Amino acid sequence: MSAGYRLQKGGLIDRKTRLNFTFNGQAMSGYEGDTLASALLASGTRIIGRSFKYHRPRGIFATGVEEPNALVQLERGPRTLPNQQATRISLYDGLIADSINCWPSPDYDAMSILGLFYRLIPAGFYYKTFMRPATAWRFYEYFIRHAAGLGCAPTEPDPDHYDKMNAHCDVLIVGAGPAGLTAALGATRSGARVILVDEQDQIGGWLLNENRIINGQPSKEWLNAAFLELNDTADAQILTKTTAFGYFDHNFIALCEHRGPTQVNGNGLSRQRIWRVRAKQVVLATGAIERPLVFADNDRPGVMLSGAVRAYAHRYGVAAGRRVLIFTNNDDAYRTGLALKEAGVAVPAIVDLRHDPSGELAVAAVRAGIEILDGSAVTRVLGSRGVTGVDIMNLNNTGDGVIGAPRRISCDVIATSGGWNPTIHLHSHSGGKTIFDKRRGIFLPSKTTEANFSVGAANGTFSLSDCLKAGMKIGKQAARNAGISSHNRRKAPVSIKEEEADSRLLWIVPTACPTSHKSRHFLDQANDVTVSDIQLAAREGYASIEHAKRYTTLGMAPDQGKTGNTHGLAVLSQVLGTEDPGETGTTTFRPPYTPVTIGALAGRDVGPLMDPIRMTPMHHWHELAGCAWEDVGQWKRPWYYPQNSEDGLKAVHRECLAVRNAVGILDASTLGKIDIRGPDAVILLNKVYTNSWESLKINRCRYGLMLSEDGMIFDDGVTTRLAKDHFLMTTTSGNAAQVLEWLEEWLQTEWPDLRVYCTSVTEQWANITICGPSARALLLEFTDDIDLTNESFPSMSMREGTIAGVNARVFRISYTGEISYEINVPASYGMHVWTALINAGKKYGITPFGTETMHVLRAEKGYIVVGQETDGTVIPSDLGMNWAVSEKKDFIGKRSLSRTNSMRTDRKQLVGLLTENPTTILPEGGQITAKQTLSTPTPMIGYITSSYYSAVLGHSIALALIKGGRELHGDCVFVPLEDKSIVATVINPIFYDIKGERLNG
Amino acid sequence: MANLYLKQSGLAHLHLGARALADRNRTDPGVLMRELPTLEMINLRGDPQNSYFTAALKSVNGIILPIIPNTFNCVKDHTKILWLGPNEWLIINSLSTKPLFKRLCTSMKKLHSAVTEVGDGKTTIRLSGPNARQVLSKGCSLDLHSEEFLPGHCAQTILGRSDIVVSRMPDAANINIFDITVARSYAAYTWAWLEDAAQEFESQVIFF
Repeated sequence: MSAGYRLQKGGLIDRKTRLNFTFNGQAMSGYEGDTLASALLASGTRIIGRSFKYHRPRGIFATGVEEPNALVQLERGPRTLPNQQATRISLYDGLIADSINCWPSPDYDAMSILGLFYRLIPAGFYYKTFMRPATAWRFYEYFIRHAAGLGCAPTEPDPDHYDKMNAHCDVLIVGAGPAGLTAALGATRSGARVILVDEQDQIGGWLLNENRIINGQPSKEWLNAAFLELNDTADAQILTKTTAFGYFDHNFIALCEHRGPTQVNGNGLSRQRIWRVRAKQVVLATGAIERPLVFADNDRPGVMLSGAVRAYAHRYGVAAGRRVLIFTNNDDAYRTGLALKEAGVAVPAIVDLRHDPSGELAVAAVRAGIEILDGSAVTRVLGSRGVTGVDIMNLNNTGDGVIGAPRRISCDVIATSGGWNPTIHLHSHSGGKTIFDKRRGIFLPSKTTEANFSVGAANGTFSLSDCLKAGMKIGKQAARNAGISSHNRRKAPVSIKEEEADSRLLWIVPTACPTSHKSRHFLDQANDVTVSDIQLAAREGYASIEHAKRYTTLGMAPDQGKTGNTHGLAVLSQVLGTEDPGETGTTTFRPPYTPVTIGALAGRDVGPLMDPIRMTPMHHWHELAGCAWEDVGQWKRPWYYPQNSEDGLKAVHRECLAVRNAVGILDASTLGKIDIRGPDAVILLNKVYTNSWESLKINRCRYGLMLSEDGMIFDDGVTTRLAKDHFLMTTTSGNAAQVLEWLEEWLQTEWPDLRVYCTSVTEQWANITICGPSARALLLEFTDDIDLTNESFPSMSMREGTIAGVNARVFRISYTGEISYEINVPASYGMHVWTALINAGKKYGITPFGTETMHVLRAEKGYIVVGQETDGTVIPSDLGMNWAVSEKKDFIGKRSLSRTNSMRTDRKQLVGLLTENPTTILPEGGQITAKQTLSTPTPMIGYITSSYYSAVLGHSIALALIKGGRELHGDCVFVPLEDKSIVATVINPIFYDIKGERLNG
Repeated sequence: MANLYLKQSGLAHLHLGARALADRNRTDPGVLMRELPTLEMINLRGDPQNSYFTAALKSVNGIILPIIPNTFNCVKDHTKILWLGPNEWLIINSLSTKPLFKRLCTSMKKLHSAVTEVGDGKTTIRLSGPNARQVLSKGCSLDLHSEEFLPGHCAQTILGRSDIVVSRMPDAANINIFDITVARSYAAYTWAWLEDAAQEFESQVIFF
């Protein structure tokens, strides 16, 4: 390994704080302020990993989010993160990183043999090669997936904490470079609430990589002053290490903040935090990303972006190499040459595609003694495992070929620049349009659809002095647009303007031989997409950039083609003969801008907080009793209460028999309850229910069916008249909120003249239902002010009184066919009344029962469950419930009941089914056929909606919907299963106590 | 035996009294959490344009309805009237010795209105301390900035995955105080959510 590439001085690193880390098992070190990439470069590590497809050796290429090559597996075990850009990992002590997609090591990779066959595996090769036999694709895929690929997902649960934060501001500024910072200063000085975000660990943006003069002082000092000013302003928030990764409607922007370095030890501090920001105005100062020149073998370790080479020198005090050749089409790369020269690094030449560059910077380079080779190009890169030299030739007049003899120059780094692409991702996320600037060959933001501004390099303003000016102006403007009336007159900071000459656009740098031969021009290094791949795609008819992208995978890697996409579409335009890449257009920019971990998106919606558990007032009694739970919406309801080692079936048998023979107790608190009050309450009920309500007497209850406009059953329940203009409606547990919304929607939109108020009281009342032959005797012990005799308290009526000392409403409503009291007490007293009944009920053999028992008991009686016997396609007559449908009045859904389809006689109708063998339980959802056959296809005439074993009957029972089922009573139907067909007899859907005598006790 | 269970709040099972005892020596907590259990709460519907309605209310303890959306009025220190909608309010009365429900029912008798007891179906969690606002902001998308969501403001909104009514009480010693009223069945979830969100700031449970 080399003696090191750390420069003697310079950089924003703390040379006193040494940090140790491990890369591929090798102990290394760097300094506080380094990134993993800068520390690796300083140590002389050239090969970081192997490429996705050809397994070519790759090194560090860039310095930020645009890095396509230097992807590593960060950490091991449950905290491991795959495909992390080494350029974005702030170094910390103890860091462990490993190369990806190579074995046994990046230096000697067994799969690199694939590189020899590259001619055989161009873009889309697997669509053509592995076509037959079709079934073998899975076999091929296994090997392809293993040959190509990236890092490994963690296999263990993530031990870290991730959370979210909501924030609001007047002005959100994305990017804390010169333009973003002055915008933030401008907006805060006007008094706006400002959030300034930047993905780097400190503010400054690209300025951190430069040594410039602002307001007559070094730019770093100006940055410090700006930071202090913002930091001291209460309503200015600076978020560093935070990426704005998505821009959504109504100026809603999602940020991802990296808070802990890698691991946070408990105490609720999150490793990453998603910020959900709602901003009145957004300033996009997202800067620009340098693009390379596309020349032969431009992916060799040592080929780097010119700006990155400068950044490593200025910010991290690292020389990217010992002899750095500059290859450019613009003036900016001359800064790199000058910076390196000043730092004592050899710059053998600046190769410029342009003829006779004469800008200020070129003059300075000549003055510094750097040789400039104008009108020339790098045509060949020597060294497959790291650059050792280049061949340089003169360009012909048109720039599409080279002439003369090559000149060889030895170097270990090629710093290349093809210009800078404005970072327009967020602008595009928000629906903003782009225009192509032909002169500069860049896409610029144009029309916006949200309240935002693009400023600085993101808007194509590349000079520092212009960025400072534009930022300040836009910052003030954004504050004004956000409604801040006060304005400040403070001026923008100034910097000396360096004039830059135009660049020369050559999308493909020619070589001595055609692009597809021998050498490869890489566009997308992360996915190994070359110029010839795009040309192939165009030849094969992929004329749209969206199609070509998907065919070649251009820009689909973790870096999303931040350095190669513009070249890719320019090459496609060239092949298609459209000279203007603006016509070809860009692919769609979609969030996220940089990858976001699933953990961050989940936030705290994991484990017990993933979804609320709704608890009834008696929840903890059930829990202590060891019940099995059933999820009903978000409610937890006791399903059954197994005793000793009972299984579910046995527990339900026992509970069923206890209700039929003694007394059972059920927590029915989840039942939806709506208090309906007002002089027009009856009118409302008449409109939403199928039956009529005028005749209902006070303190009496009536069952009702609710239909949606299409005539389909939507809810059912019992409603009680509490007073002339006061009703209590009950709904199914899962539908409580929907029914209230339904009522409110009709009242607010269609019938605002009705004088009715609806109030949810679901949570107010605990519902304790006792039922069975001993229910009355038990209740008698708890009340002295309710007459429980049949005469004064008949079925389907309500009495108010005192139960166990608590004011209660007792409803005599039965869903089991037994005498049944639904005791409603204020929820705070639910536990008290429940335990009192349980304790006193012991002598009657009181048995708590759950929803499964309730369902068996109601099925024995042929009572329906909305959502089980109905599925949104069932009308009342299908269930034989026309008795609940009034002919005399109008109601929601009535008209739909007279449609031809609703009148058909072969609609599926509710029936009961009995199997021949009493112990055979038909599967719910089982299909029903008219013929006994296992051959397919066989017409299906219906399906089973409910099926149980009835303990009291000693026989299995089932409810089913069968075409024309009411005409089939007595017939045999068949339920074909995988290996047999079960015979069942169709009967009337009431199995037990057909006359209904028991519920009258 | 039965007395043990008489009147249980939605968070009774958490034994917050014992928790408060265990937490009593915490220093500098960022967030203070307590339940305000078993308050009388009344959902009120009616027409605020109807002068008989407003007069009838005024006759009960001098209740004046807030008409500005998302604000609440206080009667003395113990009764809050929160605006929930153009014709809907939530009255929260912390004076258990003087329940309002019967008196309201009587005064409203001849008016088209709805006076409904809802206190048993809800509970209130009071969140205070220097980091209370940050804790809420983790799960509530409203702008809770201290100059935007002022004392006297309230809102029906969502915290985490539960509906809540949040109201900002007058500051005490420059510390924000938020009351979160939540449906009883969601109370355990909301408490757990808040405790989780408050973890990084050190929370302390207090009791009476």
